[in-house]
Amino acid sequence: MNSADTAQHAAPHPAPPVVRARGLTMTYGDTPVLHGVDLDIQRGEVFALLGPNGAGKTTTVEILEGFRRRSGGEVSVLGTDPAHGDDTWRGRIGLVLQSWRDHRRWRVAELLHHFATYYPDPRDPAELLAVVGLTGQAGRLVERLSGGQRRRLDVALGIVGRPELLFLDEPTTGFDPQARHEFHLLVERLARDEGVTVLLTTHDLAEAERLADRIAMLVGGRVRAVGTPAELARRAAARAEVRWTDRDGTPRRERTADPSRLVWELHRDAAGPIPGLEVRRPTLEDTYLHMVHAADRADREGDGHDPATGEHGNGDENESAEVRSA
Amino acid sequence: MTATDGTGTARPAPGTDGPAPQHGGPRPPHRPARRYWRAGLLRGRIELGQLLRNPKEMSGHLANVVVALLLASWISGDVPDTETPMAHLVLAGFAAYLLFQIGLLNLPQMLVTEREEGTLLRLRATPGGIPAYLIAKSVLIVVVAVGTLVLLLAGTALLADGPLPRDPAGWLTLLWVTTLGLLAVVPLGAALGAVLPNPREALALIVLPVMALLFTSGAIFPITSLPGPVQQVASVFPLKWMAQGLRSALLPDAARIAEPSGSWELPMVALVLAAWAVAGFLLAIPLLRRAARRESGSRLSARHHKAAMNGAFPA
Repeated sequence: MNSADTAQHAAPHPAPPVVRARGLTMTYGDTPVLHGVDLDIQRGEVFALLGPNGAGKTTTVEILEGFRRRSGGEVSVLGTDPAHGDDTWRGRIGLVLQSWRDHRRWRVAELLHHFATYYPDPRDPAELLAVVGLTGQAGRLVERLSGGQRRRLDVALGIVGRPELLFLDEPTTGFDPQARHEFHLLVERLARDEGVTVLLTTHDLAEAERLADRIAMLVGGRVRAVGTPAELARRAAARAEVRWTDRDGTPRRERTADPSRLVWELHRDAAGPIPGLEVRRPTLEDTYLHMVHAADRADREGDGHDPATGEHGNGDENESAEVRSA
Repeated sequence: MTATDGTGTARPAPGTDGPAPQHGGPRPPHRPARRYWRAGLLRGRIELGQLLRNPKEMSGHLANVVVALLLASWISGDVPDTETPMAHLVLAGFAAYLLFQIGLLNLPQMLVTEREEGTLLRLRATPGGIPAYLIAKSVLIVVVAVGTLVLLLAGTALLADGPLPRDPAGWLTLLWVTTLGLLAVVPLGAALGAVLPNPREALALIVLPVMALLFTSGAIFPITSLPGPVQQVASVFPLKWMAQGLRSALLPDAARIAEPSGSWELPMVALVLAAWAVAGFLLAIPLLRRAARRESGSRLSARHHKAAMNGAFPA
């Protein structure tokens, strides 16, 4: 639609970042949760924070939202220390949390109209309802909305004050594929057309890959990697995997840093087509799992644990001791 | 590039299943404090409308008036050594108890529920949200309290020969005792609402002490029939004084011989209620601040998780 904006995302700006953290630390009692997190999020960027449960994602985001006081380090959000953010600052930030069940007895349009009154320059509530596809539910009680509709209302409430920075916490949990797709389009539109900076926390790697300009992987209270989805995928220690079927019918697989060369050699040796040939590039998931496992290994060093059993579930296994087979 | 995009029209579809609120009304003023007041008053009005439309809650409040009518018509006889009907003494105490209950039962219940649902967090994340919330709750409480009192007194006066003030001084006493009584219990109730864990436990924790005070404060029968130590403990709490103040407003002056000290003790009523008001405010402000400050997404999820384990939310 407009290619100029896409270029704008790619090139780093000299303008001060919307979110900037240096050496951010957090300790609960005696338990350190964040060990010096550094972040820079530029204006108009969709930035995803990935990490397993307990990595410190929520803590990081809540410090940036001004809901928690950090233990140490420097943080600036929209040029202000979030620990001292006033109402004007609040008005420039939008929040979509995953566990809101508030205002159940309000009607959809009534609630959106009401929250528009808190902001100096709100969006038109009726237009906003159309944007999130809730025009048909305008008069419905909030408690009668489906899960996906409720989340879209949360998004509308999050952006009614025209925020410059929008926090999205696990925004599409429980969405069906269609609702998820529409939600992604909405986020893209906000970032691309309106220059809203988005900080997304998610478990969904596909969602991060789809939406984020850049991704930070937070593991064990540290940012282990930052980059575009493609950069991160390339950084995987796991190399590309080439699979094919040998002449005697046995399936073969080989990991290599240079799959093109391997495939060329196979063709040369076979002097013809190779049955079952498949090249599997390292994915964001490979990088993610590799980093999570590496962090587990580091954590468990000394207490004789097998790092391979540290399954950080993607919800596909019940036995925690089960080793993920490659 | 303009701010909106062409996904849909701005006009609400004609088939919406409810009244579409009007828009394009007056723009909110740009001075923040005025905007918060506006938002708070608007919020109070909307919440009041929701209360009036909620049959369950309304029947709860109306049931109190029905109970008062039954009390007024069933209780016979006079207060010992006076010409005042016993029913009048009971009704005055019952009116005081209802004010007490609105501040110390309904209000905390409301606050705890809204904390758990995330209403407080949403308002904390909104500029001016917390002041607007407090303004709205004050509006709601005052309207409910005054409404209950008016219904109770007018209803019993019309239908069951209930008590009403006899002269301007009596009306004045009714006014200041009600005001000071609310000021004594509402901040206290807000403080409770800020610290109690969740709506289910909250109710269990408050109902017993409130009931105990109802029976020991002489609200529904003369306090002189209770043992001395119980009287002394009860007279620390505001309910006894609210009831005494309302009796002085609603009963003839001769009825004061039924009071423990043989007098209405209005200066003491004012003093005790004012002291509770001050203590309540001193307690409520930091506790409410703390409660608002502690709200965050993860705490909310943790509470929801716990609530779901207890089967509080339908899946």
